[in-house]
Amino acid sequence: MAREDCGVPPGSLILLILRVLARGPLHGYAIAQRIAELSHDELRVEEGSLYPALQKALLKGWVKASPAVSQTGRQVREYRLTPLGEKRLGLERAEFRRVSRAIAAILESA
Amino acid sequence: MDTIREWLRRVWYLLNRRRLDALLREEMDAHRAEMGEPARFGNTLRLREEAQDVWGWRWLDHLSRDVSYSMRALARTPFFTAVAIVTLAFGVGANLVFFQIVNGLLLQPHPVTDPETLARFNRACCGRGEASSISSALPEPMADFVARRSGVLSAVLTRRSAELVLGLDGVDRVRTAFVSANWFDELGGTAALGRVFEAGDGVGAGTTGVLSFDFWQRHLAGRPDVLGRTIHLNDRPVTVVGVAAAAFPDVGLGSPDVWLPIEGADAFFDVGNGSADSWQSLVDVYGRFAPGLGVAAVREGLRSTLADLSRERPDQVRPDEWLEPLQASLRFMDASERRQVAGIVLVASALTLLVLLVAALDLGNLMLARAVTRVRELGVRSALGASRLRVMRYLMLDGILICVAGGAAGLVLSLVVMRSLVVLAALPRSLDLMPDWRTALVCFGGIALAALVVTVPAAWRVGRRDLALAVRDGGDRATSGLDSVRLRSVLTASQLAGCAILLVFAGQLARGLDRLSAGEIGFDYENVAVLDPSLPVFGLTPAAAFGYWADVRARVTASPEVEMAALVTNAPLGQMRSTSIYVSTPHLIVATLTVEPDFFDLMRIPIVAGRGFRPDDEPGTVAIVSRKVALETYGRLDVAGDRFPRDGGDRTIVGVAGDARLFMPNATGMGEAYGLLSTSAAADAVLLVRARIEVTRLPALMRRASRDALPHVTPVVRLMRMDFAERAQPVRVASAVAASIALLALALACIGVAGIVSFVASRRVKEIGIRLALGASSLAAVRAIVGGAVVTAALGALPGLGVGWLVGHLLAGEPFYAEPMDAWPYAAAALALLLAAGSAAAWPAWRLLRADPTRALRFD
Repeated sequence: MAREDCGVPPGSLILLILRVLARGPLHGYAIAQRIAELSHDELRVEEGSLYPALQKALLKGWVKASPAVSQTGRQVREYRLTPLGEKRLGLERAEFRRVSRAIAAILESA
Repeated sequence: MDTIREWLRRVWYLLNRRRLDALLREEMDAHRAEMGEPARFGNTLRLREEAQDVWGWRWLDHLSRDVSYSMRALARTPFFTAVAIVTLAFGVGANLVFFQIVNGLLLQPHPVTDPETLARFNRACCGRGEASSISSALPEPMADFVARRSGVLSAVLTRRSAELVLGLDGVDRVRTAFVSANWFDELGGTAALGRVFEAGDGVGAGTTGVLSFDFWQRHLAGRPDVLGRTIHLNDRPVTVVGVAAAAFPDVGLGSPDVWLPIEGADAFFDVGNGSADSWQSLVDVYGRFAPGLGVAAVREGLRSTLADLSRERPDQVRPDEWLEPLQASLRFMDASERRQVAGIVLVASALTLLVLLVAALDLGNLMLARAVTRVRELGVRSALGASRLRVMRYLMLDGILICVAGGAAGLVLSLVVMRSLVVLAALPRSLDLMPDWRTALVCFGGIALAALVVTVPAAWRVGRRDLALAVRDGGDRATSGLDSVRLRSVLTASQLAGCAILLVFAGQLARGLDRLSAGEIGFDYENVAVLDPSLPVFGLTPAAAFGYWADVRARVTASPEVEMAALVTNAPLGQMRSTSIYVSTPHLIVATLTVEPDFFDLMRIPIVAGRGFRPDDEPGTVAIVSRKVALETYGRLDVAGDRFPRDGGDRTIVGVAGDARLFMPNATGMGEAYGLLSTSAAADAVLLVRARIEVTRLPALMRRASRDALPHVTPVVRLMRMDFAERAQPVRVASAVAASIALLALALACIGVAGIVSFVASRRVKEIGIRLALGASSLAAVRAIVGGAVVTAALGALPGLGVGWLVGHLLAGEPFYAEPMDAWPYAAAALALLLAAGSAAAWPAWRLLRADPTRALRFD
């Protein structure tokens, strides 16, 4: 069970969505579940912020949506990563690492 | 590339918004269903809105909803909406009608082929002691010389206009143009039936003619078998070879009924016993510039051509003459004509714009009141998250929608008016008065201007307020001081200023109409007929012409119907052939004409100083000037014995005649100078005949006398009062239109005055109630309410009258002849404004008193 106060850090939701989709297409609920699962329930996506982020990714051409059927038999929309999305994922990942290193360097300084 | 793709995706989202929103809703519902705790999903509507924010174009979505709301709100007040739209329709329509006339007559290029390289040529020269004189017609030998010798023109076209008698009974007359064979080809004219002129037409036996489309329809019922038919003009047979296309772009506004070849023109005026002096035969000359040449090069080339002609014929052509080209692209107007027209157009367009402004100000006042009533509603919208910009948009949309609808209605109104104008004024079909891109631009500009005036005051005043207050207290504090009397008074005063300008303008035109009365124009035209034989076209020598006139006059004056007769070179109220401007009086235009001694008695023009002409006076040595000329040139009336013109003149003034507006009855700034008619000038003369009792009996008598004297001469006989009616008609029409527009603007301003007085009265109900309870009379109460409105009217009228004075100065010349120093239009405008404003204010005041304001003291 995820902690109640463990939201996704600001600015990193797109990175997480693209990374999760890099392993294969998923629908909205499955994306939220996969993020919680891979983070060992440390990160929980607010549904409110998931769909605007997905719409942004669609608009930018990083992902594509298509109709599908979920495991529970419901009609859903499945999102898959596009080549442009893969390129974006690489950029987001590099940027996150750069910022993390910089913050770590500050925290570990005397 | 990625940016372009993203932009295309955004557009696709815009076009598929509804479907995508439905998909998103389904997707969110499916997500909620998968969740163990669906309540944790949150508000689906809010989440969908946040998702849609990412798609963009929210402003368009908001705008379409706001427009829909505004339309429903306007539909709930149909009377207000209808009145507002109709008011603006008149304002925009008036501007569009005026613009379409200007567009068709001036802005659009002349419909002839390649108007930049086609020009009409005026004969110009300068002399000593006189201003430049211009003749718009050239002698035929000059035109032939230019056609043969000039290398700067690739084609020369000639034209001579005349009125010929149609048929063998001699009753109907047709407008005829004798033209060169290349006339139609060069102008781009085609035939609707048959053919147009070719080289060789008019040479040899058999005259061919081309009919105008309108003449063919009117006189020949549009019969297709008209080709090859023979019609008789001046008793000469003419074979019809073609009918010109309906939209044939002839050079002037009016199209002739029949075109005939100029090579055969003399046959229609064959006297048989006189030698024709071809230098007296004048033609209009047009030319096509040689390829690659401009106006300056053509002018210089023709200057040297005329110099060559002057060496060959020094008796006919001065060495300093030139031919001034007037291009078709400039509507054959010279620089001074263009300046004059531009000035009139500017002033007239400012006046029509004023009508639109007055209408828009009226609406602006009403929209301001309407906006105040919406403060609470706007407060609620603001509390729900509407930005200040969006609140102002709410306020402006009503006005913008009304302005767009009013503008569209104005465009339709202008189309209807233009169609009616084309039919009623029988304008030529080649004149394109239908709307084009310029008209659309003007329409859009009118709508934009109206929208600015109508919406900005309300949006500015209300939109800046703290509308959150309205939600808490129902709008009382939020509206406090909002609907200020001052702003509404400013709007009303501006309306009244606009009305004042229009009323002054209408008054000045009405005074022009006043000057048309017999007492003002200075001569009596009622019982006078004019016999005009146009003797020069018949080739009479001066002696033969003098003999003709002696014979005709003897026959005419022998009749008991005739009181007296006199010859004159220019018939009053006819075409003014000669004017001069002298160095000493540059603002005064002097119409010059030569007359017989009996002219002044015949026209009832008094001699106010000196004497009239005597039969023993030597022509060319004596002159009579009008009162205006005497006072403005010499500063006194006793000018008998002075030289005329003042600087280096060769004539002696023998008398001063009363002012007589012989050619422009409503004109100001014109005087007259008379010379004594000589035998040699008889060929150019016309005969004026005054009837003892009934002038309608004279035309038949005069035609008979002319035929008896010379059978081949076919004169035109007309009644001078018909000429007067023709001259007066445009003045009457202009006066009526200006008065209608001014009254419309005044009615709109009265609505504004009534509105503000009602508003002021409603806010002063308690105060009025207290005054009445304390013993004030009803009259005092009315004065308290109406007094403010009258002050507003006066404050608006004063600057308006000042601008009206300026407008009068700008319109002092032709064709309006306004007199800015005439006090009557200003006094009448001020009185009309104050009376109208006072009446408009009295009605709501009276209503308030009828409703018993003292009741307001009992019931809060």
